[in-house]
Amino acid sequence: MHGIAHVSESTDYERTPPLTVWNTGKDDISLISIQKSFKEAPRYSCYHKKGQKKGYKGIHSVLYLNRSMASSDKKPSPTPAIGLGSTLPGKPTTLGSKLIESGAMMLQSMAPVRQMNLHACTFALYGHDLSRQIETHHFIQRINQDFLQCAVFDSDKPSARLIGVEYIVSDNIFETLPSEEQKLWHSHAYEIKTGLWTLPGMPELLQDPEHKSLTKTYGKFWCTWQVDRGDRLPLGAPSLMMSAQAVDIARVNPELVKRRDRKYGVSRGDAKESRVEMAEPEWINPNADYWKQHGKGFAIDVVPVEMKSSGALI
Amino acid sequence: MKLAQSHSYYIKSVIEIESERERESNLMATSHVDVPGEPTETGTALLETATGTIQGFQPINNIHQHLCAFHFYAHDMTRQVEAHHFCGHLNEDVRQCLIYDSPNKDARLIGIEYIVVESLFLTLPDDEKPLWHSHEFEVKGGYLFMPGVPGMVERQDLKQVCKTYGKVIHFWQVDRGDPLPLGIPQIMMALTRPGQLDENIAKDVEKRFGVSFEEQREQRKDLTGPDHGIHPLANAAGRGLKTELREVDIPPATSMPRVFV
Repeated sequence: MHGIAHVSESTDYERTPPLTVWNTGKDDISLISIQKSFKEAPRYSCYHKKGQKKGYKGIHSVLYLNRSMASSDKKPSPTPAIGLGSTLPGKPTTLGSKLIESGAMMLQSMAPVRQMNLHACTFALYGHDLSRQIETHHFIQRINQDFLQCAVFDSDKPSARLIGVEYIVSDNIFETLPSEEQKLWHSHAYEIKTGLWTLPGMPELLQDPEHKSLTKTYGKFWCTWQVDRGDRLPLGAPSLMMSAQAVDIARVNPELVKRRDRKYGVSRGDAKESRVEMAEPEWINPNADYWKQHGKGFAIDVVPVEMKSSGALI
Repeated sequence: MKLAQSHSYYIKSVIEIESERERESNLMATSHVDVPGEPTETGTALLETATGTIQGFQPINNIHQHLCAFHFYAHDMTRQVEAHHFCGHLNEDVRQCLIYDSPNKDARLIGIEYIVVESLFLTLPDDEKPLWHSHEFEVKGGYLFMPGVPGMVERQDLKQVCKTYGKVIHFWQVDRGDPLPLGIPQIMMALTRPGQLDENIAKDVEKRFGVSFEEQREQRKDLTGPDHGIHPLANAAGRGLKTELREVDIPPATSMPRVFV
């Protein structure tokens, strides 16, 4: 991806329009990055022309940072890291890397990841925008009867992108959490009873016992890669996710569900029938699914602060 | 008489050494508080054994490598965490890792790391770059290692890792003894200069994994960092970073809940 190039040597940055150019992959290209000018703007430029010495020029220590640098609910500035159907940038894995990996696999234990023995497919909604909905694949490890930890991917193929982590707790544990903490969690009853949540590859009857125990649970899901927004790389602050609920704005788009059901041969009719007998939780804590009662979602901002310790990082 | 004495002395020493070793192996770098909850019921365990054999786990099977390194909170360098990365390649230039607090079966999933090569790091927006950190120092310093893998093989991969940038987010603050993943996600940073890593944590890891950071430093002298040098915006541009929670308005729920069809 090319753009207009304008090289500026440190001092006259204020007269230079803010431009950024990328041209990835080759050695003889110009690579320039110029920060937008603010009152105490960073005065650095990085460039590398053919034949010239590589490196960054400018005043590294004078760095101005915006009040909030990355927010989970703000679209990132345009760069090649976004768009093009969110295809993953970069070269295919080389044989060399694969060999190293096989070597490592033989010598290392990988015990923690071997503990995941449950695969669930469901849908999640962005906590700051419930109209954005994604199909998620949870790979779940049960720690004990009341707690599960899940690695969440955007598909179940080897090319799946790791998009976040969800933790699931029983209602007993949930009730012990302070209310400020409970606001970050969502309930699971609705998505399980309506068959949005399914265990691919498992006959519906076998799924029952698992669902019985999960119906009464609450989840906390942080999404670190907003692939549905077209992010080709994980950008921004982590986003809090919510679950589908029996309310208009938290409906999952039927097209998404139909497509998922077709893929896994799930019959929603069957799922709902067998689960309709399932006991509903007598009560869902009103602090969970916070948006329902309060009309407020949550976003995460990353803000610059003084580092607690001695000295700077660089 | 003398032989018997030295024999019993020998036995005593062996017993002492064995119990010492046992004590040591129970040492966790971070205080291990049990996750609250009842033990898993038999029925549930059986079902999950079944799902474990029947279902597909391709994304997890893509994870082929275990790396151990240290992270500290981006707003507080004094809080340091031993981080066990379980990584897979999405392609040659992008890796994704699950981070646990130990390499054992009962490890807690505490975070995620993404690793990209320099050319991709440079395509990130300027307000994104500070969230990423460079790996050069911790690789060359010997602090990042692959447990169980001989140095020569390890160095083949570390040659690449040395030139990459990473983004780490932790969800569970185990270092402050949280029994559950409370609070909001934390951006983490990695070691970038000498004197940052707490001596005790370092020694503990060296002992438990039988590695010596200093020895590794010697052997990794020929590794080089990113071709363009460490970008000035990486590593939080030399400042600290903190995450904050903010409420946002969303459209009110309609008063008539619709049954989902």
